[in-house]
Amino acid sequence: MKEVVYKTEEERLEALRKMVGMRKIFEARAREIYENKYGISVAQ
Amino acid sequence: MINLSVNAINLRAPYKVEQTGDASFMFETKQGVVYSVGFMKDVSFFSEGVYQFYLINLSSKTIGTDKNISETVRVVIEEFFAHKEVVMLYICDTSDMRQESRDRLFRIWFHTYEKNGLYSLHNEGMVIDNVHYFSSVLLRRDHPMFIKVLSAFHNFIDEHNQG
Repeated sequence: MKEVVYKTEEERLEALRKMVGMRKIFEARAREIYENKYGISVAQ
Repeated sequence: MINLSVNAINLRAPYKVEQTGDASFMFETKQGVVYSVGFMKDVSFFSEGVYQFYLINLSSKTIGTDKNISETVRVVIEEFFAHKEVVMLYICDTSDMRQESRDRLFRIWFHTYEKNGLYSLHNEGMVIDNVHYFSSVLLRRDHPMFIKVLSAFHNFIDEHNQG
């Protein structure tokens, strides 16, 4: 377990973008699971 | 990926929780609102043990106060922290008014956790692509790498903010 070190600010910015964008991935997965399970679409 | 016990959660949660992944769950409230709650591994600033926390209302409905929702979520979070070597990361996008309101709720919850003395809460603000975000980490005070994790978190964001 160790700190992640970025060599450039561009790398760090990409990591930050990924970090703040993860919520959408989680939400898409959750909606897919729900729709597969119940066979209905959940309103976005 | 961390594995949380749905059985342990359902022993104490007011709403019946269904496991949809190692660390993700769904529950439906008495008003028919479906929530997804869980954690996703995040390696942005530390190589292991950090998970982003999510609570998402999958229904289009908005509801009034329902204490059983926060109680159910509290039980899920406590099951997460049954593992000593984990860190909870929460990101809030302030461009969304609903997110901002949700963030206020989480901050109240997290401060409550902090007050009980078992957990430590740390916040950072940042601007990415002209959007302002709040980020918070919550971890147990007896986390074996407490100082290193916090140092990594603050370095990650402070160096961006100073850049």
